[in-house]
Amino acid sequence: MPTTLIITEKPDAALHVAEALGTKTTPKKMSHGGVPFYEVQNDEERILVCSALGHLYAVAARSDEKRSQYPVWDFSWQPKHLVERGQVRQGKWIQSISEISKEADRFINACDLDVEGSLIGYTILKYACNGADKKAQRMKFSTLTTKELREAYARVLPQLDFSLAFAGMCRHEVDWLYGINLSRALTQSALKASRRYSTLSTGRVQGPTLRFVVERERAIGTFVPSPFWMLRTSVDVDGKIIEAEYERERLEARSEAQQIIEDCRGKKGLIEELESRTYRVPPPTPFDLSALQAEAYRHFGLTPRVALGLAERLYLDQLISYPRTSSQKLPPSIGYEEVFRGLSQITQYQPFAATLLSGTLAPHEGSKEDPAHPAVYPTGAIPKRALDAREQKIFDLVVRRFLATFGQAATKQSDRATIKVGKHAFFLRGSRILEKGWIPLYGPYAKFEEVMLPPLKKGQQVTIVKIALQEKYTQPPPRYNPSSLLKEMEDAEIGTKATRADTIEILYKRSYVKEQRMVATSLAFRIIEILNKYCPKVIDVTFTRELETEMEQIELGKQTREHVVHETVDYLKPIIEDLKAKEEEIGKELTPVISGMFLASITLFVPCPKCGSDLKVVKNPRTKKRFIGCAGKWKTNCAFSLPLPQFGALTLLDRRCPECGFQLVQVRSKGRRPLVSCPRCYVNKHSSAKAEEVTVPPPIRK
Amino acid sequence: MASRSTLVGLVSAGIWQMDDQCPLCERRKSESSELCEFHGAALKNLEDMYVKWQRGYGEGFSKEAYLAKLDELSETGQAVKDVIGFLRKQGARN
Repeated sequence: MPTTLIITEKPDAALHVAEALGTKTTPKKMSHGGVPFYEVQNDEERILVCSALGHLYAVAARSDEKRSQYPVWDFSWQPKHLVERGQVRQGKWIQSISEISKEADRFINACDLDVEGSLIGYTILKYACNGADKKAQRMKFSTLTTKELREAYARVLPQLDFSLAFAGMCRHEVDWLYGINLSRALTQSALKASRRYSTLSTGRVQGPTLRFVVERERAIGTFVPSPFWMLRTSVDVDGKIIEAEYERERLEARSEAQQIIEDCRGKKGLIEELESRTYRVPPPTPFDLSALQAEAYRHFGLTPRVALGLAERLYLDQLISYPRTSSQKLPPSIGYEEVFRGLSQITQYQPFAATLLSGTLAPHEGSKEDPAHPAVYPTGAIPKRALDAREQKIFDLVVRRFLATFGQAATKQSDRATIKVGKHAFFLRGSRILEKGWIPLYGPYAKFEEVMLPPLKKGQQVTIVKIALQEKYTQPPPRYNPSSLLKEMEDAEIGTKATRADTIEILYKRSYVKEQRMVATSLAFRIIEILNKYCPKVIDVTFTRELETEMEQIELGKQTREHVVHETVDYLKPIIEDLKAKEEEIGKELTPVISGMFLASITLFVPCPKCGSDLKVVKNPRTKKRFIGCAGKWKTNCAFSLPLPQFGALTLLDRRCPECGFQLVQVRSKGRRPLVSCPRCYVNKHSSAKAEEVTVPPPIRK
Repeated sequence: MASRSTLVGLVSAGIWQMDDQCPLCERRKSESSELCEFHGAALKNLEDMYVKWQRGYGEGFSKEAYLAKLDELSETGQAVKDVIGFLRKQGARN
């Protein structure tokens, strides 16, 4: 009996594929060297299904040069566990897949249908399965439901989607060339000048993204507000007090605003005009990934990365379709009726699904398309396990959005009455929903405020009962949050739907930004200033977008990977050589910021309780033990000190101890939960009789 | 002579300043100004917006009142507040 080896991207997907394709037997879970895989049989063949662990291969320098060496132009694809730290499992996976593949006569890549999935499957088949990429086939599916998986298997593509895999390879190679060379140039420049190691990174997408944040921070930092005045007006209409707006929303001179008040206070006005406008509000379009991430942030405060992770979890549970899509289309082939029938089994969606099923099903689609996947939609499957609170939120959002796109347009009416008081005009505004259409389907995610006006007549007399001046100031532009930055990246067409959220996370990891409302640090400013001075094109959005377009051309088979990589090397070579020549100069520019950040990282914001000097984290040069010491030691002979945990990475938190108000510290050790403690309480409580009240365990002493 | 790392510490702590350094931060002064590009931009905005405040409060609105009001407002950028402090210090010195 012939054997087919199917490779999926994740272990959960492997189980679903095995369950769907095993028509003769149920999946038998097997293991090779600790790596699980499934065996099933159908009438004609034996099928082995194993999974990858994301990427098992990565781009790395071909030679054994030091990690600090640059420029580096010579690279190859190598097993990830050999070139990256902490990837031991990947090594076991490669070895096991390699062994299992020896039993196979036929190979199928069933990884996610996008650039990354095609590349993951391609590299495994090429390198771990002894060049099986040439004869391998490709399964195309957007959900992990049994029906779709069986259809995909029956219509398996005769060969791999090489253009997609090569586009992915090219993206990884180009990003590696940018990242490794530019990051090493910055890190080494700083290291040589300050003799203090700090990982500084930039990249093809990371640079322009950081530039967005820095430019916004610059605009906020140099913002000068200007004053303006608004009039808060109330009018009496047949005994009902209603708020009115002055004809000009903002008045730039206080004297003018005061004059209007003089003219209108206590005066009577006439309703001169009544206008009503009825308009349709079409249903929302189906979710593409970025719209889903934006809504998840807006309603639940989930960052794009977290939202994507939750959506992927729901996809692996067969509850929703593949979330990494740019499509706003829902083709009939997804089987609308079947999805609605499935949703009608879930109590809270039952009435909506039933109503929609009784009519014609036609979604309100958007313009964006994705050749590989439809928009995100629920499969109609009922959750087999209890979803956690956040998964439930994302699931509900996806279902509600899907329902709403099939709803009728809502109809709204907006009313405006113009009141004339001498030469001045005021407006009364109202709005109401005439036909709710899709609004109840979207449930809590559709928010409309209705303002009802009383019956009004032209020529009716009203009285200005209150008119007051409100002084206001123009506002600086808002800081980015992870969701709005992701939107900015998408609008600028930099990065991909799969990588944008990760790029934003790196900005936090490198201490370039802090807080949810993204504040650019002085290090971010300096990195952008340096890149702008020495290689402005690297952070130029237009240039990055052009490169994206070239890579998209590879997907379409109109450009070759080799051409784009060669072009990148030709472009980067002089830049990197120039940066290397100016290492000392760049290092000098980076040093004060790095030192400043280092000083900030060891200086507590609470002063010494004895002498009021700064408190710092100090290391005893002889014993190498760290503790909190008073910086006033040399001036005031203050000997105040507090002990600190001796193991793990120490961070001074921007939080105070709720009990004593001292600054809290956090210690992070590999494989353990971060430990937050108060250095002062520990001392006070440990030395007192109430030692049992200590909630944070004291550091282990030998 | 102080070692290089000591100098770095002094510069970072704002105790010692290089000749071409912006008096408000560790950046270099721009060619045509005694401030860096960032604080220079803040100064320019400060000068440009004065007209708007005069329009708002009348011609008699003094520059001192303008700076004092901006220093109070949370909407004012930090670099602008740095420049206001710098201008006041300079004014006091002159």
